[in-house]
Amino acid sequence: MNQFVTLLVGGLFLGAIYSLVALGFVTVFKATHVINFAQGSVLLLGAYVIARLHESLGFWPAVAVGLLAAAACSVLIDVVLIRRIRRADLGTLAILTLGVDILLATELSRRIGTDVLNIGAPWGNHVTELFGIRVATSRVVAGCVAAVLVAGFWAAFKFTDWGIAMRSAAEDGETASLMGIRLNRVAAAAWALAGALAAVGGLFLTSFPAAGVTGGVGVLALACIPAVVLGGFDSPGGAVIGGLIIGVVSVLTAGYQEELSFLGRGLGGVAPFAVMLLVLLIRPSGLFGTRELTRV
Amino acid sequence: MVEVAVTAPAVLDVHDLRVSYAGAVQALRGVSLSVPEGSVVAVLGNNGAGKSTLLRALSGTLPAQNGAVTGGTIAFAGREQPRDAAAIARGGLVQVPEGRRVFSNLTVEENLRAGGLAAPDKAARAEARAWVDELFPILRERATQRAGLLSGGEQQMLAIGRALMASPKVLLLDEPSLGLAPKIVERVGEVIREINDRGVTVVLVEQNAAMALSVADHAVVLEVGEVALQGTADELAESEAVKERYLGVPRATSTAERVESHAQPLEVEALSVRFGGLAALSDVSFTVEPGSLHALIGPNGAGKSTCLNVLSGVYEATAGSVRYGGRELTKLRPHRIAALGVARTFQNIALSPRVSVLDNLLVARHRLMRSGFLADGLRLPAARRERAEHEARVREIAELLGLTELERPVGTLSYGTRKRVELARALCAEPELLLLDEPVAGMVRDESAAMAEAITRSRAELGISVLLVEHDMTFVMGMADRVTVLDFGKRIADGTPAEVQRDAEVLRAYLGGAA
Amino acid sequence: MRRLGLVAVVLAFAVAACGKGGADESAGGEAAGGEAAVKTGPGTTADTITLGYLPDLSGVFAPNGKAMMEGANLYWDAKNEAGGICGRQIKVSVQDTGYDPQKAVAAYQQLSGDVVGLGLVLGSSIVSALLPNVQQEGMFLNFAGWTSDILPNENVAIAGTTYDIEAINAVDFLLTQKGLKEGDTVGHLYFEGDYGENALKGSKFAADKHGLKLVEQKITPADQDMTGQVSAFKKAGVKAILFSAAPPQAASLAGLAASQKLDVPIVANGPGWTPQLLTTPAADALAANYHVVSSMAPLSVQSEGVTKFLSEYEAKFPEGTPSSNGSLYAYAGAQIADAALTKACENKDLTRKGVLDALHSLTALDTGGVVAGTLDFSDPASPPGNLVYIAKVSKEAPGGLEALGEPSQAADAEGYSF
Repeated sequence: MNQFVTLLVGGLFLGAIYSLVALGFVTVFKATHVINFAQGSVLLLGAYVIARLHESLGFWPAVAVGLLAAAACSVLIDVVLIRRIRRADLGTLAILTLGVDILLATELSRRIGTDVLNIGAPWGNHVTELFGIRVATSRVVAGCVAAVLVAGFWAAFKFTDWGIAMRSAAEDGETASLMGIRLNRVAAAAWALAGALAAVGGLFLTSFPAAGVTGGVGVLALACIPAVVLGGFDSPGGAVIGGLIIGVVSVLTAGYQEELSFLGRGLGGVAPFAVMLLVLLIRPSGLFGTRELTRV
Repeated sequence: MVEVAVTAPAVLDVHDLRVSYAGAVQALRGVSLSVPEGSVVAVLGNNGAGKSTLLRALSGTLPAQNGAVTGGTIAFAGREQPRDAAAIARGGLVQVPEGRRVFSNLTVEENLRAGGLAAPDKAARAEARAWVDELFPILRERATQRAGLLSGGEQQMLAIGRALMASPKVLLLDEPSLGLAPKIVERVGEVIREINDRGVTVVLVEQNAAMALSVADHAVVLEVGEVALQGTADELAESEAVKERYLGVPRATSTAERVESHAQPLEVEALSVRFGGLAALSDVSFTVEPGSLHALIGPNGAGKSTCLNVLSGVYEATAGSVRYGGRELTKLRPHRIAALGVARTFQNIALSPRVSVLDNLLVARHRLMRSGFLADGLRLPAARRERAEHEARVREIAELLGLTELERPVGTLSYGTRKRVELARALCAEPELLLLDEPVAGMVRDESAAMAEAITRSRAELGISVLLVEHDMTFVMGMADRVTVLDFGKRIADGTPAEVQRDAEVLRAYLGGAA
Repeated sequence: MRRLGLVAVVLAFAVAACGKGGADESAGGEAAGGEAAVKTGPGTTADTITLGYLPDLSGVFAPNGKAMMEGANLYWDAKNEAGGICGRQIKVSVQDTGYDPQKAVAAYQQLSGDVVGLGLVLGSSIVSALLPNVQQEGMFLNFAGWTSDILPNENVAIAGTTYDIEAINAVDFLLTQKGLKEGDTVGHLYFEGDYGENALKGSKFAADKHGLKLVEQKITPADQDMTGQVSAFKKAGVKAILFSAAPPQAASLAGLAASQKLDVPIVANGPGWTPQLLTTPAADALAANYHVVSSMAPLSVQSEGVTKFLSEYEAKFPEGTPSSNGSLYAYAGAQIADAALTKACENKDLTRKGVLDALHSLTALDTGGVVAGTLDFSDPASPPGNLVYIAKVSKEAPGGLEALGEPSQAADAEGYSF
């Protein structure tokens, strides 16, 4: 029982980080109808910048620079590559971002090589005790940050002019532009936000209990794809729930690997995708996705 | 070019505007239009005349449809207009798009806020908000509801309110009456007046000429991308040219020599159809004489299609009767009605696109074939003979309708030709009475002429009765023996084309109160 | 893809044909004009011996590749200064593989005509791709990797022992030094693929032999967070953990184990360590419980070979960081190649076959402590060494590892079949 609770809590915290990255994914999809596979390498970029700079600048300034770099990179992808072919079909745009991802991830992992770069977070390997369960402090921080960001995100989406513009543009771009909403700005803002969220995700995914920034970190964002699909591509709430589910599932399958060994070892990596497929069999547009989306 | 009598300076000046789509199709061929400040200008015309294209050019949304301005200028408030849709809206030229297009997942309140994003400042927003509340109290009540849950009329109000939130100098309205009930259309007209009274210039694109002419000061009529007529609304409503365009010219000499026919009379008596509380048809009566071409016309939403659907058994009548040669049709299922020799076509084409014209037509004769499909498939001699007979008949009918390339897959034919194939298919079932639902909808002029020719010839040669449902009055005037006019579900006129055209009620319905 | 493969094969043949032609010509010339009747072949002339190196200089293991080339150049530069081998200077011919087997085959074809053997090849997938050609051309190949799956093979030389033997030694260390007893449970965290699974083979053998219960946790290099694995180990009540993965997983494992109060020794294979781990938040946890079993010497070992290496390294690369499984490994590989070439020279046969025979005649090669014990290359079916260094993480020691005692060997490794 104790093990189960420990795993569950660990999974929820991990899932909170996935949620952030998935949220960025959904934001971009809603605003520009692009399935942004470059999210992974942007995540790596953010983490890389923080890891490289924290010694010279200090941790918090490094985080600020990392977020900015990831946001800028993300906006650049939109402005330079996506904007001119905005009306291209879903597949073309997705493959374009996949190409960007490969380029950026290759370059970054070449720079990182086999190194393990410390992210330099002040919470180091501290451990917090919550109701008798010991959890890495970085994960607790991640959970709180995720909760604040998700709540802030929701409020911004719901109440600010920016949020209204974003949702209008997502629903009917042409009409939104007739209402004076500048679609290119909305798109750029969405991409910037996705980049920054990816960097935050990267920061926590490379903090303890992970070792630090390695070339393979970009691949971690892959775990967010089942989260996004599971939640429904265009639902921010779905992304958050999807992220939590994927976090819990991957930690539980790893923790019960011995008991589940009849299914084969190394299940942790496969389980999120298996869960995703199961959900899609029952609800083809994800848990919270809009139905039309399946017809796209 | 007729100059509009301009009293105020023009706030919007379009000069020699040319627009093409996909670099080829010329949608506007040199349109000039001057909109005086504080006026309401109506842009009229049939489908494909270029009304929406003109609006798209004004609001900067042509690129989304792969269209581009290829010549001419648009000046707004004395300056050349920017290209970008958002910049245009922020400049004070705001469009209410066709089909309303409210943001259905946003609440009413949020929709209004979205409109307010283009307002110049906070004060303007607040002022606009107060005005919208005053104009549309219903929106205030529904503020927290999702816009998608509103009724069509409420959505139209919201779309207009949303545009007003941007404090526009000029409001562009694209078909605001489309698909709305008469009461609501009336209300929309009033709203346009009220908006105009506050000093907002309005450009109104409408198919419903009656509604448009009743609110507009000036009007232009577009025809195949050019300005065909313009003047004050009153002048146009009175002009013979507009009457002709909207009401058509009856045949000078009635060719209504009775065709030899074995059809029976179709008698519709006191027919009523209600959907929930809404009366779609009330107390409609008319008779289709054997061998005649009878037209059932009326503006959009008049109840024409509903009537046709009752006749063919798709809808159930609430009250009244429909008799075909003594048989009561209202209780019969569609296939039973078809078996009596009553065939119909549909507004949308329902043919197999990959199959040849000939095979599409042969399918329709299965009802008449004696040998089963097995015998046919085995190519037994009797079946072969029978098939040859049917094929000969099909070719005859096809020739009658001017269809020549029978081996081509239907999908490769032009739209107009496909519509004639559909007509041919209906005729191949050898009906006595043919029900035609908007046979020329969406056609260009040559195509609709070919269709008119096909209908006239097939009636004369095959000796059938035809009931033709159409909203384009000009199309039926030249060919119908008798016309029944519906408006808002009621019969407002019935008689020969010439009689109907002089009818005051009809003039009102089609051209508005001015007539 | 298939088509691309075909094109690659055709190209490879074309290149191979050209390369061979040139080599044969030069070999003929040398044989005629050679002094003291030393037989020469491809890659050897009257005054040079050329060795091929196929590191990864642009792919994921590029930093490793660079470190290896540092080690190799260090050794050969010193050797050449001291007069070379057999009166000949050693030339190092380098081609980048990018850790891509396709590219590696092409790179191999580029240099294979002009080298006597391969001084170092990084990666087992690369070695597998090259083996057919290497065997056909009769070269020796020094493999940077320690999996016994490659055995038996006439052409491949490994510096030291293999992962499975390391794991057996690790269990032995736990039993003898860390109080592990029969009936205890041991966890093993390993990578899928040849490295982890080869180590698992060894740990299973040892667990069987000593009545230990083994809890397996298989992961992939993409797994960076060991929360679930640590929790499973804790629940199973493991008394020790064997580790056959990479440094990022090591940091996560050690850090989490400490945070969950799972205070047990962790023993890792050689690739599980890099000195950079001491800069991660898990440094304290690693220093408390982390051990490394490898036949490559920890840099803190005070042996003649390692000391020499370190002083030469510091002189040449004052800015660099030496590493056990990078520069030192290539250094050891060069020692082996040196010994084989020197022996071949004594035998008056510097052809590829001559060098390969010379390699197999080495039965007690002493690397001065760079590789544990002495190396015996006479049996291609077993690794040349059986001894391992057991080291403990130490923040003070150079390279972060402090050797615990002399190189040792578990008794049961004797009974293990590869």
